[in-house]
Amino acid sequence: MKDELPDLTLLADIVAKGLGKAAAVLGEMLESPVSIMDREYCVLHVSELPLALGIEKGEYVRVIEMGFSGGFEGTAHLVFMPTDAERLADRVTVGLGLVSDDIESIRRGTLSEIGNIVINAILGTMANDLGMELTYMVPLCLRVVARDLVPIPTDGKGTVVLIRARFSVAAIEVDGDIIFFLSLSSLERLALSMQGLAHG
Amino acid sequence: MPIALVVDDSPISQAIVAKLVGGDYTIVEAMNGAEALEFLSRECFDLLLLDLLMPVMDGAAVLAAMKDRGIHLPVVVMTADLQERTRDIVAALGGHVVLNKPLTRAKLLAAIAEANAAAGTA
Repeated sequence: MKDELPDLTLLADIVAKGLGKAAAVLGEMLESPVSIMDREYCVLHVSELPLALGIEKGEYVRVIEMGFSGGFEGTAHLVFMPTDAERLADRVTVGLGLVSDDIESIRRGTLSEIGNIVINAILGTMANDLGMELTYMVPLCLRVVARDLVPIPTDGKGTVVLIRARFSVAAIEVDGDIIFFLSLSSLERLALSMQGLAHG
Repeated sequence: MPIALVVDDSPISQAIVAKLVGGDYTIVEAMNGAEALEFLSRECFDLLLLDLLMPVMDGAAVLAAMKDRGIHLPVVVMTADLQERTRDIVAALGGHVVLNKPLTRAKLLAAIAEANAAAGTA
């Protein structure tokens, strides 16, 4: 059962601004418009995540994963089906004159850089608006079974905050998900900061 | 042709920088901060294009080491990090300009001109 967040509107507003920035920078990289849709914000038990994320099947996905800590903490993920990830990477590298027998390595590096830029756009916008500071881990590009995306909860109760949005680049037929997992304590800190903004 | 040291762990970012300003600068590539400091201790460069988030040694550590060693040259920090406090940290460590990725030729050339002016090498 999903529990609605107490400050859903404020959280949604701040995340939406970050998602808008992410769409803008990704669109700039691809020279194509990027749509953001199906935004979701909820508190879940980790056992509910596979169903919520639609990842019950053991299919492989491409994930760019980036941890962050500081004012709030968690992990951010860009998730693609493998064919979409390949189209996205190839679009960015076209014209760069990269010559290598290892196309997989080039694609991984490209996806890591795309993830770095897109995730930073969201989190950096949020951090600036909330007056918080974040430290980022180096992004990783992985090919994993989708259900392995489910995080290990840090609150001891198996509860996690899920923020998710779908994005689409129609011109190159690429769809993907932006997924954030936050700890409950991070949500509490965010809520306090947002309340401060609302009353500031 | 002037020489630019480009420090970025991403080969894709290296390739993008080379495409954007490879006609204006001879590009020397370093994949992390430690490699960059090795180059800077042995050779003279006209420009440093520096990423922040890198394994082994990050960009902030490079700036701090340059400050300690008295290495002066125009520095453009290229980063995906939008945080205002990152700009403050870079400025405090002597970086001249922070340029947010993704890069374009126009934005990069403007940032280089600003860094040259700030470093007194324009």
